[in-house]
Amino acid sequence: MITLNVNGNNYTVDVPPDTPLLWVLRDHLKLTGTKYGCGIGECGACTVHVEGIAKRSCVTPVGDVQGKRIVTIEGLPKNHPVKRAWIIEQVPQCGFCQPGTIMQVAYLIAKYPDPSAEKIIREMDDIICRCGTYPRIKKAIKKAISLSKRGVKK
Amino acid sequence: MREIKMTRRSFLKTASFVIAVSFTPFGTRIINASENKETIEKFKPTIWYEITPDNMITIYFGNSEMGQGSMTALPMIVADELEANWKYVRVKQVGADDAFKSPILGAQVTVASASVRGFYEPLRKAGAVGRVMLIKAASEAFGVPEEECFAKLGTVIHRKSGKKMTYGQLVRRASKLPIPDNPPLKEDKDLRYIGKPMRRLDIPEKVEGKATFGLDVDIPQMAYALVAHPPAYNAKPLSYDETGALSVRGVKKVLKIPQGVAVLADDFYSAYKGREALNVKWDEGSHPYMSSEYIEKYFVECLDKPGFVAKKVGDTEKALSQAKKYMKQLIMYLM
Repeated sequence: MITLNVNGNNYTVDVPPDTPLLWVLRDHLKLTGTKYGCGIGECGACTVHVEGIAKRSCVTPVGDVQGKRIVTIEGLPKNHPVKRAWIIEQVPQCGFCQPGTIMQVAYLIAKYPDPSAEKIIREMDDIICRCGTYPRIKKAIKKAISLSKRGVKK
Repeated sequence: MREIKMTRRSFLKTASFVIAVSFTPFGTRIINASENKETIEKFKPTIWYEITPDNMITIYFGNSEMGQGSMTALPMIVADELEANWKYVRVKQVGADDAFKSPILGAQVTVASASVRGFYEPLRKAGAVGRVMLIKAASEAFGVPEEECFAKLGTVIHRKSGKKMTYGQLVRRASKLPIPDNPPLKEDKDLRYIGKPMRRLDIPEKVEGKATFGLDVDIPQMAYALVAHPPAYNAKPLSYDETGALSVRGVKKVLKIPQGVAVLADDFYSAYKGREALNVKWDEGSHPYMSSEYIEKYFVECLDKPGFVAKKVGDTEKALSQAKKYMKQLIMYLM
């Protein structure tokens, strides 16, 4: 039995400990916002936060994250600056990769509130969008940074 | 007012059987609307939308939204003719249903820029039907001639008295009226949403991770299948370890199918591990020599053979002989 803390809720699932976190989230907990892209940690569609750090859930064995705080796209608040920025800039096209992209950006701006262009590129470089929404992703990252700074001032 | 002649299948076809797929945080639940015991009061003159007493307008969408924006474009057409307030418009995906087939493709698919082309006229007419009926319902409620009333952003207004009723307030009355065959359409200058950049209706749920993609569909007792596909054209499996695959936890069945060998399991990852355990040995297939290298070599050789002239402009030979600079480069186009 594996015990998981996801979005503030505790779950117990009966799966082998080497099962990737992605499939436990999707098939067992029915949290299907986290997407399956490549299955080898190369595309970023499956990105979630584990103890506040962005992780590719498709290559994270569930046994390694027992008892750790896991946050998925469903657990990121609706009024989170990144989610708001994504709607303002109308980022998604097909939308499949976007939950993972949003989680990566949420991690980026939490860790580096004022990231340099190189920092952004380094952190976002292995996030792949097949529709090619990169120009809107770039605009939305800038928007999210300004929204979160405004939030801090209040 | 302009009229568009309807020559295609009836846009008013009332669906006796509507499958509504609603989005919930826990995946898709398929609701068979005709079996839904809850009778919510609503005005639903066509299959395309319904209006409820809370003023909400739910527009049904039978195509696939894959990022082209048709889940917003088609509701824009309905909402415009219906003179709806966009703030109260929401869209709901429907499942497989003949009534939602494209008039020009005869299928329920989203391809070939056919969504707006195919549905533009039927949806304008469907929207106009509702607007005409709501105006009539309000004129009856006000006790005034229909001609003295007009619709504006989800409200019907009596021009002389300024009396108003919202679409939500008119639901019951409008539902009892006959459905007009040929409602007048708006003049182009009066269009409110068509031709304007609108915010996509599907984006908020995509940002929330709540949109249902193919792999997110969840039906009780559903099995997941993964297929071991051949590595070469028409290659057939010589052997595979069925017992090995079946011994993986969660694997239910192994099936040989024309496309390869399928592994069925309770969940995706069990099917994945089951497929790994199959250890399929394949024959060489019908074109064992076929490879990316072979295809590349073939195309390069073709360059030295006489080709087909698609277009000829000016004197190429002469221009090349006089050119100051000559560059030769081979660029392979991914096929």
